[in-house]
Amino acid sequence: MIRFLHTADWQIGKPFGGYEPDRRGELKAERFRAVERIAALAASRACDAVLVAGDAFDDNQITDRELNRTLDAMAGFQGPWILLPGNHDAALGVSVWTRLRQRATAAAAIRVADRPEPILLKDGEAAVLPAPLTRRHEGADLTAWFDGAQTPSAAIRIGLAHGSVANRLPEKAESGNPIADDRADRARLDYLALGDWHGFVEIAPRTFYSGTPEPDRYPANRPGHVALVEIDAPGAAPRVERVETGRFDWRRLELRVDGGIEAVGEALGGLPRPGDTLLDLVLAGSLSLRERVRLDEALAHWAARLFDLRVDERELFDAPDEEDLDRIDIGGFVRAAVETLRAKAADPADPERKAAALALRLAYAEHRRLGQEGA
Amino acid sequence: MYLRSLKLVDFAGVAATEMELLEPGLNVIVGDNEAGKSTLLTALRAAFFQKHRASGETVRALAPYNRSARPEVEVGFDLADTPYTLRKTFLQKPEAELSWPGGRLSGDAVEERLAELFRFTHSAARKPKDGDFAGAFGLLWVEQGRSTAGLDIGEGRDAVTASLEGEVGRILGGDRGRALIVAAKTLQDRFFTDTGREAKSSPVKLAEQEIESLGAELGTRRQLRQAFEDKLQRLESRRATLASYERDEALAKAEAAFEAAEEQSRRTAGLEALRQDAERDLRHVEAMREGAVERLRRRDALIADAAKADEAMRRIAEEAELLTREARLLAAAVAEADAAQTTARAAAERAEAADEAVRGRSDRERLHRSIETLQRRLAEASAVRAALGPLRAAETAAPVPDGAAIKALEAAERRRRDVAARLSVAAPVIGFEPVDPARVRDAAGAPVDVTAPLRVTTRTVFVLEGFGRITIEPGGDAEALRRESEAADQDFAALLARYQVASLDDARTRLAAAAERRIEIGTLGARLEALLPDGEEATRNELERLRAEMQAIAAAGGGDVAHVAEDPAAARAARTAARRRLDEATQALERARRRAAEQETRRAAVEAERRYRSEEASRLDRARAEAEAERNRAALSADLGAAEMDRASKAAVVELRRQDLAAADPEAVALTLRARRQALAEIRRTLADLRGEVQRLEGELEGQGASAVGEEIARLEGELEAGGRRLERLRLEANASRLLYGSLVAAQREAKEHWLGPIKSRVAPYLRLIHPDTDVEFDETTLEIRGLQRGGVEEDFRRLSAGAREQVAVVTRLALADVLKRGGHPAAVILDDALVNTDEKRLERMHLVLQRAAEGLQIIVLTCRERDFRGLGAPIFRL
Repeated sequence: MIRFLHTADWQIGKPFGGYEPDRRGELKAERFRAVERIAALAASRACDAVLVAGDAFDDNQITDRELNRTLDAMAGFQGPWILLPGNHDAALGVSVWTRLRQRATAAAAIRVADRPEPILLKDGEAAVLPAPLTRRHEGADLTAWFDGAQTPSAAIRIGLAHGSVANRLPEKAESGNPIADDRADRARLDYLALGDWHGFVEIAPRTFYSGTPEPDRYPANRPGHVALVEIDAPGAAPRVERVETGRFDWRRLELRVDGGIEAVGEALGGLPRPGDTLLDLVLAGSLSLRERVRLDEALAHWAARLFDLRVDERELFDAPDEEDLDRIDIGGFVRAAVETLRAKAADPADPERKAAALALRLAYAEHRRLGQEGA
Repeated sequence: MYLRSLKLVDFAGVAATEMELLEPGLNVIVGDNEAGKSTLLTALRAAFFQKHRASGETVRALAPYNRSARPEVEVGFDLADTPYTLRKTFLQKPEAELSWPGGRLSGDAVEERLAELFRFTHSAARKPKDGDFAGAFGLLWVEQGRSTAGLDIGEGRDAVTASLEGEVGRILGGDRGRALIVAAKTLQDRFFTDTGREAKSSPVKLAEQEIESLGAELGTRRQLRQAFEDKLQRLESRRATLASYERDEALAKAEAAFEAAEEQSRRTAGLEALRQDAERDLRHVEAMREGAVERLRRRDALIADAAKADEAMRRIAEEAELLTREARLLAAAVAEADAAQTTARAAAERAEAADEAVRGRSDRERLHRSIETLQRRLAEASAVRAALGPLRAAETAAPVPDGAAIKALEAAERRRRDVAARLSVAAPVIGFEPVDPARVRDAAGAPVDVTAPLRVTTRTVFVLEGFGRITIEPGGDAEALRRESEAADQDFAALLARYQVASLDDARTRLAAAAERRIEIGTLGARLEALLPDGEEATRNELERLRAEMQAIAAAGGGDVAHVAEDPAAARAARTAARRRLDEATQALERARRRAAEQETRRAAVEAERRYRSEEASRLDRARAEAEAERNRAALSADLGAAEMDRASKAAVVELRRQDLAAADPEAVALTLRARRQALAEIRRTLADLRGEVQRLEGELEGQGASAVGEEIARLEGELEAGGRRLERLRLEANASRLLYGSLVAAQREAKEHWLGPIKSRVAPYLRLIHPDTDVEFDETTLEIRGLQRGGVEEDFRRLSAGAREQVAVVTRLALADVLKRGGHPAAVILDDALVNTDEKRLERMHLVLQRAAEGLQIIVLTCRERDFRGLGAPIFRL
């Protein structure tokens, strides 16, 4: 019986450039902590190995500091670690692996699987067949050699690869590095450990994506896990346990607000850990200026509570009604100006349409502010 | 609004005054200066707008002068058909009271009701300032001296606006509208300058700059990344190339090929050596054959030469024999000619001697005659020279005065005579007629001749015996003349001495004698010249020469001429003939001798030739004999035959070797060797280069591997994306803020136009009365009167005359009051000396204006000039 951890897509060094600098730092640091958690898990569950199915590093040119921190984070598990070069950290002529080897010579427990040849585990009880990427994008299926790979007859055959399983993933994920969906069968694999897809999924029989152990994107495909695998003997069905390792909750929320913003409060109020949540809020609908200003205030409130909040309001439109306008002014030149702006905002052909809508909202907000000051 | 009555007690400068029954229309209040007209206005303001319990400067100014009393004002007025009575007292025990039929208020409630009725707000300040509360009435109630200053709307603008709101509804937006404009302006100012350009600190601009710098940074990083990847690519490609070399064992193959080529080359080199040996043998045999040929040829030549030399020797011996015979004949001919010439020479010498004798006699005679002539001329010349001698001696004996000397002497003599004559006239003449002449003596004691009168030219003393001494002192210039006379005498004497003459006549005589002598000398000189043209020396030499010649002729046998024929011509002819015969004989001899000499020369040459030929023939014969003795010609011929055969066999060997070599194709072998050597070197170099480059690239890539460029790129891309979103949002905000502010300002301007319209339309009829064809222009934002529009030309208000300004200001106020009244505002116009600068004609017109305005308004005119408003037809109140 062999027990191992299957993980992938650590994406160490991912910069998160679209976020505020302090948040970037936290997001980057969390990835090391995820590795620490994996090491601790592997140690506590007495795993025979940890298989990293590619993209441990976000880039071949990560700094030495990041490399060292990674090795430090891995120290919690004595090994062996089997690291497969993925598309982000392909085993190019000179790569992060070149540097890793220079550092990890002493730690024999770290093995870079950059050659398509079997690696025996536990005195030959299991054989790992790696399909390392030596280029970022391969047109051919690098796992093809698994079919004819010779392993000891009593060895459990475990494939290790990085890429897109043909016909199984959403189309946009199939950017290259194809893997046949019947590879496990054809190569008589007891388990095929895959990386590249960031969510945990059994994509084909005995074929698993562990996903990234720490989410780094919004899509809700169950990221933040590792696979704990037990296989009793060659041909025996693997027992696969999905273990949560992620901290940050990346969410995309699409809300429709028409007339009132109550939906926003309800949805955000239901978030389990707002302080660890990165929310991509997509709003659609139309709101009166009153509600719109309320919405802005509510979002400002949530922005301060959530780890990060980004709002896409491209599909959210202002619909100033008579009450809004009356609140600004029932008459006078202000009303005249507001009516002009409303007409502009309502005219789809007007190039200043969006600006006019915002101008109306500004007028409303200013008027309200002046009213509050006057009160 | 209608002011009905006004009563003041102890109010500023007014002790007490009361005005009842003011008209609802036009009223005129007349008062002299300081009568309190302006106090009426102040009192009205205080009554309506001043809180009765207020303190401060403005309120204290209401106190009566120099008295401690409380100022009191009471106003009766109708508003909205309700008659009110308002009474206020200030400072001490301030009170306020407002009463109307069915109602009454007092204290602060009065102030509140007033603010409500007149639609104004009290200043929040505890100590009000002038104008704080004036509101619309600040405009309508014009204080003295301010009527020319335009509307002075600065303070009152909001009041006007506020007041006008009643008419134009809330179109003006009120305070909120104005605040909104300010707020919108603030929003816009974040992004734009007042001139509408993008502000330097605009967040849009900052965001753009940030994006630009991010983009630049990203570009740099991408280039770095690209360079890295290119290098990586190159490394891969080099490694692949290297691997293909190694896989193909290219180096080993190249080395093997090179060795094979070298072996082939060595083999070809052996064949080449054999060929060269054979050729060397052939060349050796050929040289031997050529030696045999040469020897045979030289032997044949030697034999032929010996034969030819024998023949030549024989021919030349014959020729020498012939010449020897001929020489003997020629010698005989020479001897014969020699004898003939000797004979001819003797004959010629005889003829010459005869001829010479004839010629010598005539020469002697000629010489004799010449000698005689020369002797005679020399004698004559001697005589002439003797005559010349004394003449030349005289010439040099004494100097001869010339013409200039004569003239000087004559001048001195003339002067001397001149002075003597003048002295004789000037000097006194003493005539002594003594009894005894001997008794007269001079100072020295010598007797004086008394027979003749005595001329005294100098102080002279006479001693007259028996009488004593007498001194004569000549006067005048006798003394000077005497000195001059003495000087003249001295000059003359000096001249005589210089020319060595005794007198003037002597000088003249000597001059004449000298002239005569020179002529004589000239004549004799010419004669001497003619006699001896060559000089005496030359003539004597010539004479000597002739005499010597004479003697020579005599010595030459002049004595042996007796037998010679007398005829010189015949002698000469004989001599010539003899000479000719001699010449002919001489020539014949010469010819004979030359022929003999020539023949001798030829004979000697032939003899030498003969000797040479003989030696040559014997030498050659000797050589031939020796050679034949050593190895005869037949043997030589046999040698040649053997050599020929040897050469043929060696040539065959060479041909064989050549064929062998050609069969091995040495050129191809050499080319192959070179190509393989180059290929090997090239492969070695390529491998070294590839390994070097791979190592270098690995080093470089490892060095750059940790530069986190990819991470930076991803970060920058993220930042750029976020920045792009922010920029888009900011741009939208900028445009929105501009749009909002622009819309508000545009709407406000339109609104103002809207309500400025009514004011202008009210002003127009009044203005036409005083300034036909004129419109008044207002500034839209400040509401100030900007100027007048006359015939399309705008005239600046400040540049109008004082009269025109006050007229325009007054009619504008009337129009404003109209507007206010129609808007339901209380309005009454008070003009305090507002038309002091207006001319009579215009004043008349202003009366019309006022009358017309008074149809709907109460107008109170305060004036100090009653007559100006006498014709107005309004009730006149006097203070």
